[in-house]
Amino acid sequence: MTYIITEPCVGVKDAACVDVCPVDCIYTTDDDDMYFISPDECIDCAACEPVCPVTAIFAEEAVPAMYEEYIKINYDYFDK
Amino acid sequence: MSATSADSATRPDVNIVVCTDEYGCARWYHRGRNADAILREFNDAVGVDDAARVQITTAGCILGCTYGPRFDVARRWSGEKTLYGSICGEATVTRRGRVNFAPIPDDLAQVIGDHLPESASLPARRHATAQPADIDLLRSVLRACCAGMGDIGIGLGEAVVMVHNAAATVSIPATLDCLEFVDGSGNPDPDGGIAVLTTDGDGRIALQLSRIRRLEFIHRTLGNGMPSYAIWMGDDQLETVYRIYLRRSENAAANPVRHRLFLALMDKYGSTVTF
Repeated sequence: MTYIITEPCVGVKDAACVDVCPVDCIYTTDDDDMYFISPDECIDCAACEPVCPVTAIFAEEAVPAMYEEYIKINYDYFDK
Repeated sequence: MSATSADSATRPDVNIVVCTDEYGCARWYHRGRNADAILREFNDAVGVDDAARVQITTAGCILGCTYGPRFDVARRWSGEKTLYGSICGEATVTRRGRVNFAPIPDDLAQVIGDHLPESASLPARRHATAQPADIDLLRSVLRACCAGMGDIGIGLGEAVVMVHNAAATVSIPATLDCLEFVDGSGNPDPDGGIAVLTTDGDGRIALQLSRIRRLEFIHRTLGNGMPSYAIWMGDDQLETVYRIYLRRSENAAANPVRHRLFLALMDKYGSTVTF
């Protein structure tokens, strides 16, 4: 299980999740328009979920249907 | 594309993340507080004026277990993070590796004030200060544990003392019959930094109080149905260095008294006391 960042993060990149993540597993680059959580490094602590100001972060099994494509987007980001 | 922009999002200055992991922090107490109490105090401390600047949330294990309550404070305005735990100083913890813990202060409202932009330097100053109050607490707990020791079979003195390190474990049945505090020269001093337990065989066990950071009361029922009572002490590296297991007293009438005494200590101090 991991946490997934979804569409509301796009263009926002508030980074509150990055600040609270205890294992620094949330990544982006200047070229990316959102943040991504490394599924291999995420420890499922859920610290990122409530601090997101735009409610973009969900537990993998709780990602809303309209954002399900972001599960694959998130995994693919780290498979590059 | 999201309709929400960064400008419209609330951006608190400080995020406080309290570990409420049900397998860890939620069960431990530190100086009378567990994770729920800490969370409640933080929420009570955030006034209306600060609500937009301070965000308090919970999390599962935020790696860095100190066998006591834990919380992180992320200062978004400076990009720094402070880890608070039931121990203080450097420790090696799970996936985080070598980290530096600030002690959980008595006044959590002050933590909020310390981390808001106006007074960001306070936590480091607080972390560097000595904590004589913690040693006072440890002395009090030890005195409570040793009450009645001189009366054979009544106090917690009938014990197996176990001293443990990475290379060896020594277990010695003993009857602890005296506790006193001494200074660095061995002179009796009620405020001394060394606790000395003596045994009926003229044995002496000296504890450097400044190195003891955790004391646990452990009460279990063994596989054979018999109760087990133990007091474990740990150092600043989270290693358990010293254990006292109570022996069944030959004075049968004393065992129920010792049982009640042990449970009373657990009620008073919690299952874990950290310093």
